[in-house]
Amino acid sequence: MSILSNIKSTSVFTLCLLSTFCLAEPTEQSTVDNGDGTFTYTQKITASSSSPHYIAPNGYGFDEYSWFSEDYGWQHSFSSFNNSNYQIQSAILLIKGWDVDSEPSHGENGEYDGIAVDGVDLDPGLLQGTNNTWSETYFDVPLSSINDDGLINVFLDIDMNHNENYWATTLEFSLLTITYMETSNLPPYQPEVSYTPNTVTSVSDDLVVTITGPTPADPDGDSVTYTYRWYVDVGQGYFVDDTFAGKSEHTGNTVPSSETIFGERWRVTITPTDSNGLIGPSTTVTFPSLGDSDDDGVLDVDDAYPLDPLRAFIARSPVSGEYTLAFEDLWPQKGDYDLNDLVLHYYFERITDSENKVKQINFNAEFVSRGAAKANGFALSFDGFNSSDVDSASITQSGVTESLDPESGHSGELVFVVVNNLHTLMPASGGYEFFNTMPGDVKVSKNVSFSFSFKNAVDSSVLGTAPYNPFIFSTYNRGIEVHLPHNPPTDLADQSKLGTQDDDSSSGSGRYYVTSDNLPWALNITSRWKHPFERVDVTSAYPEITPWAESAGSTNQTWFSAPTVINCWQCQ
Amino acid sequence: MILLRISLVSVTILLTACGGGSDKETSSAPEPVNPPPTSTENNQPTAFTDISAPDDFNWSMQTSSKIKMKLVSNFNDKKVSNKPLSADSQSASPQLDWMGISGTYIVKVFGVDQDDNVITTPIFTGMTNKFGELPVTFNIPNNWLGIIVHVDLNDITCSQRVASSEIENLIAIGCDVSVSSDL
Repeated sequence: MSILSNIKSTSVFTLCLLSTFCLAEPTEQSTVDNGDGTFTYTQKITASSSSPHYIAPNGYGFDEYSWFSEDYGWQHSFSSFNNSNYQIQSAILLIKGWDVDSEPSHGENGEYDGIAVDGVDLDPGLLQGTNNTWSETYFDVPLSSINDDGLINVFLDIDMNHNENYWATTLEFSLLTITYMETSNLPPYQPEVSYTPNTVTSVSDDLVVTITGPTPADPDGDSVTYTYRWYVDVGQGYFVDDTFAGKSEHTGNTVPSSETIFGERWRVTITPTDSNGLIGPSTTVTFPSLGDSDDDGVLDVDDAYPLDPLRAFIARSPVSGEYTLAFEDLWPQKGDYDLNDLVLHYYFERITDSENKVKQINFNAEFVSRGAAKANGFALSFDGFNSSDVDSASITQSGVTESLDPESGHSGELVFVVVNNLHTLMPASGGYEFFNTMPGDVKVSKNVSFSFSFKNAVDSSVLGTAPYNPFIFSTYNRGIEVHLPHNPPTDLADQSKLGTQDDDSSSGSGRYYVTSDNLPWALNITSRWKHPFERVDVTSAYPEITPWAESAGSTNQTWFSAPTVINCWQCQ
Repeated sequence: MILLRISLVSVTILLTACGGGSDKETSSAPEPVNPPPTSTENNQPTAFTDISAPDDFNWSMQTSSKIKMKLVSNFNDKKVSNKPLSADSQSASPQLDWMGISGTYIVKVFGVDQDDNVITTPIFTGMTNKFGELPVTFNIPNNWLGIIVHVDLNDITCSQRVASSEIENLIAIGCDVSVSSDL
């Protein structure tokens, strides 16, 4: 051992006395003088290491077969991290494991054990190994994880693609190797790069990364060279070294298109090295997925919004045609049950992202009839959300699109007034007091479309399903609301009216807007329904509604398709 | 005769019709002096207010389902340590204790209507998470017979029909994919 090595060992020992670094020991730790002005520091963590480097979990960890729920971590240290005369030439983490079944042939069903340092996932994104063999995976350790505090906290996430026992692995050791030199020379700057293609990528494009700066590339004016480490995700869901994925080894700034396949993702890490062998911070570039222009994980061919990473899928409800909302407006009194005080045909569109969360809701309605003398409005409530959740909202009527703010005064519910006064939308004319409720009164229905998007996409199970919570309200007495049966009133409803007159609501039991005989004031009908004429009881217009309702829906399920034609509007 | 009846309805309603409500908050629709004649071809004696619906009746005519779908292998059973299933297992309904298939795949849910026609537009499209699972929320009309779930799993298309009565919290979608593990 050289004198200098002895000095190094002594300094480590001294530091042990002054800090927590050596309160316990890794299994092995040494610094070797390479004789050329450089030194190599190694530190190995094994099952024999002790706190704070490693605390063996009970029943798993190093030298134990460990499963998906038995993730664990350990800590490397480099006590000379803050010596300004030490500059790093390389920093490598080598992990040796047994039976790492991460062969690309497994697709997304293999054993993928991720390694993170100081909370940042490393590249390659998993331990690279094969069935029933020992394997070694090399990771470039980010300099920032060394230089910040000298502690390199490593975490192993076992079998990331399963949430049950499928794959297990055993680690023998984790070896940190840092080569550094004692010099006043400074490392090069982090490279600035451009790359092509940087938006839409096809399999006919070469992948090229180009160094664009900075100038100078090194604070001492040293010449700088760059190394390129290429990774690819061939369908495993994680990046691995190109060679591990069966590709050629790429060491330059280009991957030719002949090496790429539809559906792959590519990534490259560029590390600068100056003429003294010092390395600087690296830069990583991830190319857009081949065939996934917005890089949201959904291939363009499956993506309804291939250039919008916030949107991927659209679901129409109903899938074709329209459904009908029909309201009586005399609540809490029973109405005349012609169910035409407001009739509208509608469909919703629910737009979700690649994680199936709802980003946007579209509502398209055709307001067909107004059989009410009273001025009513129509609104939609999305229970469980607030106006602060809204990114933007707009409404389109008669070809004019305007922004629309949520109605104020609500908490824990997001309410949009789609139409404030149905008389304005559907005015009386032609000698008819109402709108499309009497024989001979045939006016063009009114189309209104409404759309809003959430700031952050929301869980569809919280949002619920169409038609959400639609309701009418009295334009000049906002507290009067009429909802579909068992849909709750909003905060602006006059709660004192609940359970009065003919209404048998009981908010404590979630019972709303039904009579004591369970009759509703509004219906959502799974058809483009033709409503009864004015003051024609719905049972006269649709006789099968009676056995349908009294049988709890077990018979006459298509009652809405069997009208008495002379009793309903436009049935003949 | 029908024309005559229509005319009577029209004239009467034009003269006397009233809305479901009035501008006065407490008023009901005024009774017309001469209510319009209505046809009750089936001689239904009841009015809507005569109906007594059961307490738990779902007036909405559709059912909202909140389920989780999980891809499973038709070939491997994790209960028996990854042993292959019996040769005739493919004719059985996939079970959740069969080995799961991990990975992100496109899932489409189609409706089967009351006449057993498959609706060609999906009622839901989404993508499984890395565990091969997909939480789904959707409505289907009560008179539909069920749903068909399609999953494109690379070169394999998995298809599973689920009757409306069998749409439960967790649905296994079987695929002809063999899955390995250390079990």
